[in-house]
Amino acid sequence: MSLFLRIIRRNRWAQEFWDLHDYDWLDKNDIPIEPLFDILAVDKNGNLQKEISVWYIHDDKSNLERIIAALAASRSNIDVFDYLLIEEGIITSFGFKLKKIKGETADKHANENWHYNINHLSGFKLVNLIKEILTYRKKIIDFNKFEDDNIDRKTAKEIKKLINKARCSNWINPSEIKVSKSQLD
Amino acid sequence: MSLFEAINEYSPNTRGGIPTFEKEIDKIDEKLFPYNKTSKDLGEDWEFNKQTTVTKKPAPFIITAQDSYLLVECKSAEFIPFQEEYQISSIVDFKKNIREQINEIFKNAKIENFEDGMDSEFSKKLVSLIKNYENNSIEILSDMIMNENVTVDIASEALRWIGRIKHEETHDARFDLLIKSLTHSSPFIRDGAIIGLDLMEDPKAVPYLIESIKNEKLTLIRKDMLQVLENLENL
Repeated sequence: MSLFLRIIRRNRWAQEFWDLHDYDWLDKNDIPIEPLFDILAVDKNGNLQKEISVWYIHDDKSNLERIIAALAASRSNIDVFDYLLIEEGIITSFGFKLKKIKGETADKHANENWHYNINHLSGFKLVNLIKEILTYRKKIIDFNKFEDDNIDRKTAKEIKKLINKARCSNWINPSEIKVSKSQLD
Repeated sequence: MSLFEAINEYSPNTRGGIPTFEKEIDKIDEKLFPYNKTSKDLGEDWEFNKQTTVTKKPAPFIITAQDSYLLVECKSAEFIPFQEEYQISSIVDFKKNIREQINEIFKNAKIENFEDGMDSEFSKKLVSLIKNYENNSIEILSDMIMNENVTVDIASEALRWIGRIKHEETHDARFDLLIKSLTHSSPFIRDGAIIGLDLMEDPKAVPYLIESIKNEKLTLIRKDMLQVLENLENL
């Protein structure tokens, strides 16, 4: 089953962190508001985007590092990289549409082949999508198998290595790397 | 405008956290200096080491602030020339001003949506503040973060930048703040501290991380600590 990567802030999806927000009133069928911040985005002018940008990941995750490197190289600074992997089946089962569209990273191949937008968004579908992701995540946490988690973090150190790897492998155009060279040494 | 604000306005340069400037001005704001007033009348903001009376008239004044002294000179022939040296007796006021600036930066950050790896208005202002006020700013940030006087998710973001900044003069103070934050009651703060330490790449953090891992209750945070520990051990 193919996967799709979405950049998130991991702590918005972690039960341990929600517990601090006084969610004892939350209905068991409801979800905390935090994950919505990662699914809904605003553009530079503050307008709500009605599509969700995601990246296609092969089922064996063979292009995962390459995509992370491409996205991280497009940032201003080396930093942690938090991401969510969503199964394609989950996306389509809720009635969303996936549309291939050119990405905007330093990796031309990734831009042309692996970037998609999720369309046909609605409030009801989005909440159900998040619920589904969180339910899956809870199962994983219950078994304490973080290595199989669909939400993960690469440390700054790992990101630096990945960008350098992408540079050496000619995955990314060095002139399009936005992270300063001094941060990559 | 307070004396401190005037100093800042006239000179953005600081030395060791103490404002240093030399500026000729045409007019002295009476709030800045004690025209026909004594230090007693000035209230708690500024206290002078001697009683002073200055004629209240515009004149070219030269003000020089260095270390803990403020030198005010009037060289005009029109008025009685004078030269007075004032002691900036209350560094607390200086820090109060830094604290107010930090509060303002944190307040404005509430409407920002931070993105990992991206500069923000918050990060730009925070970095500038730290470079200007050096260890004084870290001391105040530390007090505010450890005493939970700031929003935790913004404090967490601040800690990332505290680790990221390349600024040798404040390295030790920033390192100490990150280490202290590893044991903060809020996991948001601990998370920011771990990221900050990873970005700082100072292997001196290793024993502190080992100790924190033993006490960390949250699996997710412990996992991050182990990862950063491994990174630092392999430097």
